[in-house]
Amino acid sequence: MAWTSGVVTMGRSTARAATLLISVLGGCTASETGDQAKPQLWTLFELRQALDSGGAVAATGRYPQGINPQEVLTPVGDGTATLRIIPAFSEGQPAAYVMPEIWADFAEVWVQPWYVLVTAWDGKSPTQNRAKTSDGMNAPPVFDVGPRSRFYSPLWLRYFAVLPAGADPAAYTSAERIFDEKLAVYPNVAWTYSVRPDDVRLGEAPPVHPYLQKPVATFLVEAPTSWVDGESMGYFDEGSGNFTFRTADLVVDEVPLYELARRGPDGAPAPIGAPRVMGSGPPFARRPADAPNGRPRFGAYSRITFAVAPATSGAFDPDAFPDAVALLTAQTLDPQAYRGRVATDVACFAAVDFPVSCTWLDSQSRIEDSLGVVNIVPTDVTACTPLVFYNGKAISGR
Amino acid sequence: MTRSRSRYPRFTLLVVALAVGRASLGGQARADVMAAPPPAAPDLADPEPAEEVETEGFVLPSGTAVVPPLTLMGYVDFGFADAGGNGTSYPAGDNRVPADYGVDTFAPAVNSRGDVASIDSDGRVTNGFLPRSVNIGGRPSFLLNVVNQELRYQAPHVPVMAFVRLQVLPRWGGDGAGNVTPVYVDQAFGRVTLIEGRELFIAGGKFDSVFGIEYLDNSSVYRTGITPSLFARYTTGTALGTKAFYRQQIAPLWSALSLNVAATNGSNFVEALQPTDASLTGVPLVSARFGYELNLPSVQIKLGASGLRGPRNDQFDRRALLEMFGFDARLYVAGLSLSGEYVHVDEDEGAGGKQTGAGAYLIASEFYARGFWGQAAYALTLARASLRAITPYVRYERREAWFEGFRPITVARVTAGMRIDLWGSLILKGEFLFNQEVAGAPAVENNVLTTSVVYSW
Repeated sequence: MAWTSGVVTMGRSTARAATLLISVLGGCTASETGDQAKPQLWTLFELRQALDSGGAVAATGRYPQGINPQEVLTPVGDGTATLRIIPAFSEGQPAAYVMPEIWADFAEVWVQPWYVLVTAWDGKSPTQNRAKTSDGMNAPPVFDVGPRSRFYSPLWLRYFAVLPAGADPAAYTSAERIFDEKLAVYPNVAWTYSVRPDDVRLGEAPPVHPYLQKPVATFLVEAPTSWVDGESMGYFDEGSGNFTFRTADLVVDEVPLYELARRGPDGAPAPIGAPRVMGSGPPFARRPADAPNGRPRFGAYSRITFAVAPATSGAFDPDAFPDAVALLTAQTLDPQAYRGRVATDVACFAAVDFPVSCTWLDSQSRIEDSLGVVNIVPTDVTACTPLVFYNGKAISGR
Repeated sequence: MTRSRSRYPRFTLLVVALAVGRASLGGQARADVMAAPPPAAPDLADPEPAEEVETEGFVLPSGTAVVPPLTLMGYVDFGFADAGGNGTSYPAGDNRVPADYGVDTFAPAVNSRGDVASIDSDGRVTNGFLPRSVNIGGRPSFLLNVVNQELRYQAPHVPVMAFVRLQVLPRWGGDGAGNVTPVYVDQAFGRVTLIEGRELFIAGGKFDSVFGIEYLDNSSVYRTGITPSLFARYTTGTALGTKAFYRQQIAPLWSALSLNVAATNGSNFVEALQPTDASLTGVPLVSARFGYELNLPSVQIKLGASGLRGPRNDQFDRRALLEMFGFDARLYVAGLSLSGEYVHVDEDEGAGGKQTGAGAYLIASEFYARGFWGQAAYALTLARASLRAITPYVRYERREAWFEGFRPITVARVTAGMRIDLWGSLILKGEFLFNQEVAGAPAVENNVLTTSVVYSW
């Protein structure tokens, strides 16, 4: 037996060595691959492809269901797609966001520089002197880290680059030239822009909140051209000042985007399918929402985080509870503002004192207070999720 | 046959002379060279230097005992360097991240290890494509580049040799990091001569690269100039594993063919770019060089082709391959040495983040590099006892490289300098590096003036 065992052992060793050599010379089999996850990024280019091919994106070990591309984009009959407004709640009120980029297995993302060309610097009105192209239009902005790099980020720190007198703005199509010519650059504010393929647009009609049918922020627009390292590319403007970052290393601060769930049979979080809840600060930081003049300085970068609610929890459906709708209407409350809102016990939907009868999970503080640390489970999926609707109305300004 | 008879006795005498010199004067020995000799470190007392220092390719006849079993060798490399700008290749005001993907961080090299003046990105995120740094920034500074100690043991009457090269690297760690003095095991291996009288060796341990020719110049003593080329980062790192070397002399043709093959944990990227002491994928990389040499009495020509393939060892996915190939050529005639190399690097995207010799980073990006270097040096040998030789040299190189999604960067460099050999144990060197960002990267002030004094024992 010892002899046999030795032969077997040697045989295994030989086979393994041969396999390793074959691996080196001719490629590996799937079983020999590492079990380490690759950090992945889905921009609107990949999401557009995923919309056609079907199947979820960003399905990871801690977020196995992933994200359906149809949650991000709406296919249109002419073969194009439109950016979808995604309903949510934040600070106890209806909100909405868009989700043009998704990261999996990224510990952090960074702001990248975005250059706006001007002919002269005016600190009080930086856009006053936007450089114009020959057709009188604003010269396209310039940036270098494009969507084919996993270091691409839609979270930008905007700079103004001052062109020399008489310079042709069309000649500035990459940041390399800005630095080669040592143009004066002035930092401005944080801004969210997402590059897009030409067949991803906003649609003909102004975008509205899906439930409330109210317009969303007017800053959400599509722009035809930017210069991405010498390549022309369209983009969406998703607003300014809607995230913060560490100035020392340019790492973007994230907030939780709570995905309400219940424990599944295996104990793992099983999403309810209700609108997500946008947090306003780090989990359990008890930080008041920073939203001067109704413009939240958070939300553009978030981490999907399971909020595991009790088995009795559920989302309110106005169509299923006409008595509750009547109570809301009597109080001049819009029933659609409660659609999808999750309560810890669905029995409250039938109570005579609805909606105060419910313990709602519609803000970061309520979720964290009601569910506790053990039921807050961060995933390895983060997303660009700029809010376009907050506190029950469109976000104003730029 | 006539040629053979005339060469080998002379060769043997030279080996003996070198060995005696090493024993008595502490002359340098290249312990891990299994392939061709360096043009850069001629024994300046001999009119045919490149041939004679090729001792590793020669096996002493049985019974010859001229080398002490235990030999201690080493050198101190002391220098002074002044890099332009802030000592990095980062343009002022550039806030792209990762900071090391849009420039060539290896350009402002200051010493023979390829250490640069600075890699300080001013807080910006980097992603592990960084050399080691002496952290002097743009401030001129004296440097103790390396304290190198080697131990070689040649067992008497058995074909076994062991070699260890330790390097002490006194550095200032940068702002707030204090003084750091790592001890680096550059090489540690044992070597067996399989067949007596044949140039067939097997080695195991941590040893020199087999790819290309620039690894031959890793030592400050052997390198003609001071700084390595822009491709040294891919080809000159030592690796842990096994290797075999065989050379067949073809005496009637004054020629020889050689094959050097290695299976190692990692590639021959420098240690700053990848861990060398463990395999991260469990699959070795295979590298090889096939060489041809023409050894005429007054002219020597050496040609080589190298290849490398296997999982990149800075991540965990066996499917993520590193593939390299290159070609090299050298010509020695009448004190003039011409050498050059073309290098081609393809790296797949990896998984599980990037693990380098300097730490962990987020993404093991797809990466490509191509380019070449060429060098001309002329050794003016002098008869004076103290001044042995003066060697002016110039090197030109051009490198194009790009990470996934990033614009290709093309950089070029002209290196010009002078080497003076004194007493056979003291070398003075000084050189300028003129770095140029040709395309894809902003032009920055990153030229370097560096000097080096190498004392060996």
